Amino acid sequence: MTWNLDRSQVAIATNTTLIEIYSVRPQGWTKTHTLTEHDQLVAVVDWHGATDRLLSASHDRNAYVWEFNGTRWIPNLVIMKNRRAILDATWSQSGTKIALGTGGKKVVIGRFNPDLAAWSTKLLSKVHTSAVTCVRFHPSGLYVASGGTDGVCNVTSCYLEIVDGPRPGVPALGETMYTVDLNRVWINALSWSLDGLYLAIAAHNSTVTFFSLESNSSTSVTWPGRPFSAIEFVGNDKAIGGGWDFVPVEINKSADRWLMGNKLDGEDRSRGARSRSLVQSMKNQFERVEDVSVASIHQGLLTSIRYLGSNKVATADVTGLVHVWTLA
Amino acid sequence: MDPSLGPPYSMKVWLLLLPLLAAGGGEKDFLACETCKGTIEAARLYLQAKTKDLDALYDLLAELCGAELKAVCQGAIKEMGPVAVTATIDKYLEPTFLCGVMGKCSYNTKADNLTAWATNLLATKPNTAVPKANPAGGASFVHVTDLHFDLEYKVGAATDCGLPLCCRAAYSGSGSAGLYGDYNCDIPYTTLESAVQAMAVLKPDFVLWTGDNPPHNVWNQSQSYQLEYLTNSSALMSAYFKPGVVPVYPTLGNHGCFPVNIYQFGNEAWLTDPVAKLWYPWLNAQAESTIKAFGGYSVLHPGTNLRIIGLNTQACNNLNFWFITNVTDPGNQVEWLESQLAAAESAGEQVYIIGHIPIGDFDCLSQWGYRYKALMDRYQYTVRGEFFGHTHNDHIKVNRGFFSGEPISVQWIAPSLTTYTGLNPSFRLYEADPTTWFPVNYHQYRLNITQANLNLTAPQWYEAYDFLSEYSVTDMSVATVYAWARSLLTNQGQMLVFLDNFASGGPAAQKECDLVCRANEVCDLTNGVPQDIWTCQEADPDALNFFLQLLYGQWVYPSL
Repeated sequence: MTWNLDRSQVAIATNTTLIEIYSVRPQGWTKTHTLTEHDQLVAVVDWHGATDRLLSASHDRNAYVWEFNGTRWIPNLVIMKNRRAILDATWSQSGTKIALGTGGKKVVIGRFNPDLAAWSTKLLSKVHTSAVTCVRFHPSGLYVASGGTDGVCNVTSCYLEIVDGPRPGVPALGETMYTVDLNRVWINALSWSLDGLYLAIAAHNSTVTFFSLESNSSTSVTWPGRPFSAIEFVGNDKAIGGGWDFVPVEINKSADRWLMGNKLDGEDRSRGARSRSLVQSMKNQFERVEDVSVASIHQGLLTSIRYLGSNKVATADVTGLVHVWTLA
Repeated sequence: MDPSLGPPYSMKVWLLLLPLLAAGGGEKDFLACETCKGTIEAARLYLQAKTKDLDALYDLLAELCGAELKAVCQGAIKEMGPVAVTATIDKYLEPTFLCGVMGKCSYNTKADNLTAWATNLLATKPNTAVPKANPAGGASFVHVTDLHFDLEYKVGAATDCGLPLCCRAAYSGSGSAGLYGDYNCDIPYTTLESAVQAMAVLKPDFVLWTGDNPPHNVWNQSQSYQLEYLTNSSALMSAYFKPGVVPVYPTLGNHGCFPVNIYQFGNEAWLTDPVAKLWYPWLNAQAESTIKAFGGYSVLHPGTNLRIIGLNTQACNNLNFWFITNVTDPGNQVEWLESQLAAAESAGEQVYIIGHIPIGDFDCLSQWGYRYKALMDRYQYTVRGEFFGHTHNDHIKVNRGFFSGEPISVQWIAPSLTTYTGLNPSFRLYEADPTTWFPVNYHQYRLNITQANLNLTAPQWYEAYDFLSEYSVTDMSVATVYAWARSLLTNQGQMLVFLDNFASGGPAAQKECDLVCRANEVCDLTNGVPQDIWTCQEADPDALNFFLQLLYGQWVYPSL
């Protein structure tokens, strides 16, 4: 799920081959476009507000950059040597670069190639030794953080002279500057703080690791439930995470420590989930449980969390439900 | 993008060493400098004498060659080895250079500033509009390249012999060479002569002949072998295109040299003296002297305002190992080209540039290519055509503005006369507007080698296609050609048509091309310098070119 610049439209990867675009109005949401170019599950869709371009990527191994021509969204296939599903995709803050993570262990950096009038890519194959599940640009656009099923999160240079101009001192493309090793635990999601000093890493052991670029060190906080599949900074000292518990949770920084905060759903409605015994909740983690309904607005795995500014956060789940929260 | 190409690593290494070595140097007094130079000079002379004894080393290296291609590999090592070793000694044991690095003498060279040079050059670009070509044409000329005929071609000999060149009595293997050629071999003299006859029938105003006459048995050639082919082919051409009637404008190719690719500017009299004499009847006395000097020339086509500038593209051939010694403007050809273009501009002449290796080919060094790119940008209104060969394929490279990136002009690359390898023999007839001299269309002539071998009658040369109708374009202006090349990215059908012509309809033609393949091809067609092509393709230079750039370093000039 992703929003345009003035938050009047939202594009949703519906956990199918389709991308749906809704116009968001006080009186209700209207579906305005359905994008049908992908043949398999659309893994991610990302809207770059300022340039009004959509980036979509799918398990069908293709990524498209979409542009709206006034009536229709026109797809432009990203030129890429890739034979595996694409798992994540994102725009740089300036909209001049794209990054993709693939099931083929590759971090892919793309730019608009004026010679071809298309987006062309460079493949970084030495960053990960397993599938790359998540990629996020540092706000500077010169570095990209990537996490994978090899349990490693890397901060790697994605410097392209032809796009970024001469930047003496910036390491060459593909050079990894920082590595956070989570000891083989799958990494599910990443987010940079708005000032780019902290990187949040949500992993499959229900931890969220905060890596500080200033001190080159990391600290972890553990959620006492199921792991997070999405994480998003909403400032420099607050992040929202959520996943297999279906409930978004605040994580706050106070005096250089990161602490788990409140669930956004509030204490009342989540009582049902909380009241389960520890044994029961452990059992749920390891057993296939048919009835997983909890007292929460979302009734499925959270697939994405987006900060909309002015204290608003949107969350989406696999069932296609999108909810906008106002933070206290 | 900063076009001042690639890795200046070898310079960097020396600059790093500089303070280290200079530490003990102290005062750079005259005596210390002269002593140093004397010592280094003595060491160099000693080592140069020693290289004559290096035969043992080359023998040893040749022993390491794989059994299958032993003769080829041994030949290559014995031909190339001495050049590489001598050039290395010349560079690194050069007294002024080394004593400068050691701090005994003032180290007085500075790296060339390409951007500054190009800025200066382009500052004087006139603001004239490029004239429109008259589509009716009226003039015509033939472009033939890469003859590679084989006087030892033997009908019935093995076509697959495990060597780079087959179809010779001496090499055994499988297959049987046809009467007019084979896709795995160079062409017999019969085919060459029938091609020249077919060209003469078209009654061209003149002929462009851009080099590479000897066959591909590069491991057992010699100076006299190369000269034999040059003499033979020049005699054939002048028999059909009489000097004073239909002039032929030839250039040297990388295969005319001995050893192949190796050409030391200013020291190839064995080649350039006979060549200047052979080609003199088509050219003039001034051309004779410049060919002797650096292998190129500039002449006016009689009765017209058209100037033909023949380049010696050995100045940018990446496998010319003499560049280890000095890669800076070999033969001063860039400087000469600039002066010729400036003179042509002030005289109101139109210019054709012809040469063997296309400037955008990966075999041409980008450092040289960027100078050419800037010159084509500056003289956009004077240069009306650029014609090259070497790749054996049928394609183009679009020159782009040095700073602007706008399409400037087209390097037209004609396919080879040889079948080597997997191609049909080809030559090209251009139609041009005799007022502006812009080419307005070309007709691609071919011989279907399979058919020719079956029929055993006189070979039938036929027009395979003409540019305008084959690619459904309206004209040959750079804007149209550039737009057509870019359209191939999304047009797989047209791309496959192009790729079939690329291999002259031969079995080497690619039969499929996905998006990544098409993108790489479009980058190749729409850029005129290798480094620009790699940038567009999001690729790094291939390993060989990366190594060679490292080995040769950057252009340097003595500083004052």
